[in-house]
Amino acid sequence: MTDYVFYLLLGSGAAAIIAAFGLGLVITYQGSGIVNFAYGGMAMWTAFVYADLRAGSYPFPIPGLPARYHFSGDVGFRWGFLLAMLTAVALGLIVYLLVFRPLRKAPALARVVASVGLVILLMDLVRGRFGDTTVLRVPGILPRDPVTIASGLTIPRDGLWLAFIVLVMAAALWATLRFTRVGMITRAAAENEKGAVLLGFSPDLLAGASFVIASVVGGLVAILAAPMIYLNTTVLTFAFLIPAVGAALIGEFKKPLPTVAVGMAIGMIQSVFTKLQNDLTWFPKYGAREGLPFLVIIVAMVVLGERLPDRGSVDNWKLPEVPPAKMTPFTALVPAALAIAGLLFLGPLWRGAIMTTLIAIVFALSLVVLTGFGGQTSLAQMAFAGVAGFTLSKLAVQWDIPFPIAPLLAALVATAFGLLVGLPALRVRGTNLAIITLAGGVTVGEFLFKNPDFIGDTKTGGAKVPNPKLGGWDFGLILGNKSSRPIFGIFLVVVVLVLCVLVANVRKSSTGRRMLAIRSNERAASAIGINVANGKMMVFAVSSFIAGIGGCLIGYRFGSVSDVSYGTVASLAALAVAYLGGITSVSGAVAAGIVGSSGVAFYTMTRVIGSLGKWEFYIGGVLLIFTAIQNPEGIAGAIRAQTAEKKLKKARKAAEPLASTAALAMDAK
Amino acid sequence: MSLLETAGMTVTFGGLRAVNGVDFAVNEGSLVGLIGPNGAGKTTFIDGITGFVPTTGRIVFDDHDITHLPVHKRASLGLGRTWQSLELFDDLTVEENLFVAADKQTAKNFLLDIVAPSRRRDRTSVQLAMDVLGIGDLATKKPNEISQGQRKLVSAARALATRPKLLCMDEPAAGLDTQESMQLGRSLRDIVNSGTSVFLVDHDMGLVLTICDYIYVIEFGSKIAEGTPAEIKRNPRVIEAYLGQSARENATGVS
Repeated sequence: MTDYVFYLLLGSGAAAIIAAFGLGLVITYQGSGIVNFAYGGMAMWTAFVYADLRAGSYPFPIPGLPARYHFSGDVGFRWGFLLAMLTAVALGLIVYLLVFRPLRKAPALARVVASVGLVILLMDLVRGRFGDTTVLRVPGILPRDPVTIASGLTIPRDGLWLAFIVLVMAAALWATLRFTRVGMITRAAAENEKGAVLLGFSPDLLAGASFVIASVVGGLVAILAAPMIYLNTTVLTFAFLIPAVGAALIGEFKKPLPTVAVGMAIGMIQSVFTKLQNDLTWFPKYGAREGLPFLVIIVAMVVLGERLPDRGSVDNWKLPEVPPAKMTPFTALVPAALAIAGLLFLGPLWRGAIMTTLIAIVFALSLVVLTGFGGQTSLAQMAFAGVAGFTLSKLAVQWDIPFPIAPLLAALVATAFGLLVGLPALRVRGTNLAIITLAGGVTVGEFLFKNPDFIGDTKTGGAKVPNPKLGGWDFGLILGNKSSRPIFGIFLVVVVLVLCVLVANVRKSSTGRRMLAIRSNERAASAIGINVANGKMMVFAVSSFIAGIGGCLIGYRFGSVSDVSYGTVASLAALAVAYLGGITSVSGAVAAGIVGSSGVAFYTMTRVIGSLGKWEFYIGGVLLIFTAIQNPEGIAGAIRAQTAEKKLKKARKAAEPLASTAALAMDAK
Repeated sequence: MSLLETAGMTVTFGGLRAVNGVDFAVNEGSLVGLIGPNGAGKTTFIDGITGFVPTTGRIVFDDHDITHLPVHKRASLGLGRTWQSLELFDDLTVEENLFVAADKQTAKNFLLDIVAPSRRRDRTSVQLAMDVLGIGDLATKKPNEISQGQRKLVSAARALATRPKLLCMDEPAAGLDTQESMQLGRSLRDIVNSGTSVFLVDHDMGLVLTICDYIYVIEFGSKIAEGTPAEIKRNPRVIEAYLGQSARENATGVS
């Protein structure tokens, strides 16, 4: 028994971080109506700034500028803390002013996408400034000497201190919301923003202040906790953020005390899991920690209903417009021919970039169906791909199932999985669905993709995937001493072409019209006899099938599959790139593949400008935020708009001479 | 024979009985009206019939007990509806709005679609609906590119494109002037003559009394009268409900 109490209390530090992040999310949402998925990432940057200050320098967040300002040495706790907190203030302000303020009236999808862009940017910033694998060590701040609570129960006291600080902050927030005028107006604005504006309050000021306060809360706790955890790019960004989202959901994104209570409970129970994994043989060794917040989120949303109050705004989740499909043999075959020419005649590095682009197109297509046509969100798209990839490995290696059948079966397994993930979509929409899929994807990533029972022993090369072969004809990437065979690229071109035609056909067909009808108006769709539930499941099925094919292609390319290709970051990047290219059309998916990470556009860029290529994710994040703000239909949409304008001008010019001759004729009379 | 029949249909919201034990019937090939003052429960009545709110009592449509069927199954049986707020599909063109209503969904169709989407397009019901409401020239426009009056016609056409046996229309005349209203009345008669029964909900007494074959009147969720237009005009309870209303309006200076 004492053992369990020991682990519970030992978890108090992690629990405090989760609770504090929950508070920060509540503050942000109350002040601005935004669920900031980048909140953990912002706190992470503040913590890294503090760590860097203690090492004697200050990191600049913009590539191209000098990396650091160097002090003579460690600036000490006081200066380090002060400068880091000022950084948190500035970060909150900048993020609000440059990212979320321009998106105040934007559809919720644009906001989710922008915050995904911000996450990607912040993670790449830390990677770029602090190196890929560095785990920073920060000197302790809170008193750490052990305290004995009962006989045989001695633990370090820093976690308890942190928990105490977070509880004080929660109480302060609760009192502010409950008893002060600002608190009352904030609560009013959260229910109905227009009403609060009529009372003479600037929603802008409120939102900006909430971002700053939340950033300070998150940064403070991250700094205090930094000595207790391994600071890396994912721990604050996801591992603590996702349970915090679960806690905030239970608190309906407005009640500080339940949020903190649930956050604390999640953190402490997660800590006990370490003990349970030792004691109980049946207890899952992988994914239990991640599964708990996922469960909390599912319970919060599916059982209790959608929990995000909508601030009385009319249209919360409008999606970019869907153009009609205009695919012709010309528009399909010319890019395909170009790709094949590139594969045959350019060097192996170019070939690699083209292959990356082709595979990225597949994932973008899967998101075109899901989000563009279906109006659903998924921050776990690569998890579908991973399920297919690992299944392919099992089918091909252990059961000797031959080429076209094994990947198709694997994609069907991914489809079944997609249907499972689609189930919550029958109850929840928009931002809520983004939250569920994010937590679900992380859980699957830990539970399956890191589990040796499922993926095989990584020491012996992990899950291998044999080359695709048809009859005696091998079109794998590597064969014998040839390491980059163009034939594999041509195989990819064929697969991508088939999928493009398939998705364009979906758009043209009655199935596509039904998806769009459901996306537009679920009530009206059901009134004309459309089974809305079936329609949504169809969207998830088609999308996860395509993503599954993409997962198999990754396996064939690398000859093996590993969790790295299918992680949460990859999922976020896939959504980001698809949105950037244009999430509502096949041409958008192709554009996405071209600008996607390590694709043709970035390879060209590194050839031209060289060193900036190191920052491709950072630049991608910036571009994504910019696209979310400026141009919801992405690159493809921008090109469409431009050609439409040109055509209009041409038509006008063509009409002008006629008009002037007519005028002349009139004059002559 | 009745196409649609309700027995003691009741809709409650919390403690409020928005529709209270209404017995009601629509015969095949007829144009039936429902009138009542604002807040009488007219829209809730349509919502109840078409399955958008749960009801107690019994609803029978075309020999099927539909009381507990979900919305889309009722629609597939041939029960169509429109909204006062129209609820068009803003992402689809006018023509696509009608096509999506006309298509039947089956697994076989889905597979055919992915291989060859343009092969299989049944234009007849779409064309018919466009002709009846005279919106052929709007086919390629999007709902946000046409006028409110035109959107009303599109919403009716979309419901018709599903080839319903009974079309329930919620306040189609709201916002129309007298002449447009009469035009609409003629279109409704055309629809009935083409084989679709119509259930018209409106508070424009004039329109309903002119074109309907049979009329129900509700007030505070309960039925207060039913009969032919001539009978309704003479019914003392209806006169009281409506005259009483206009008398009150006069007294408070609202005209």
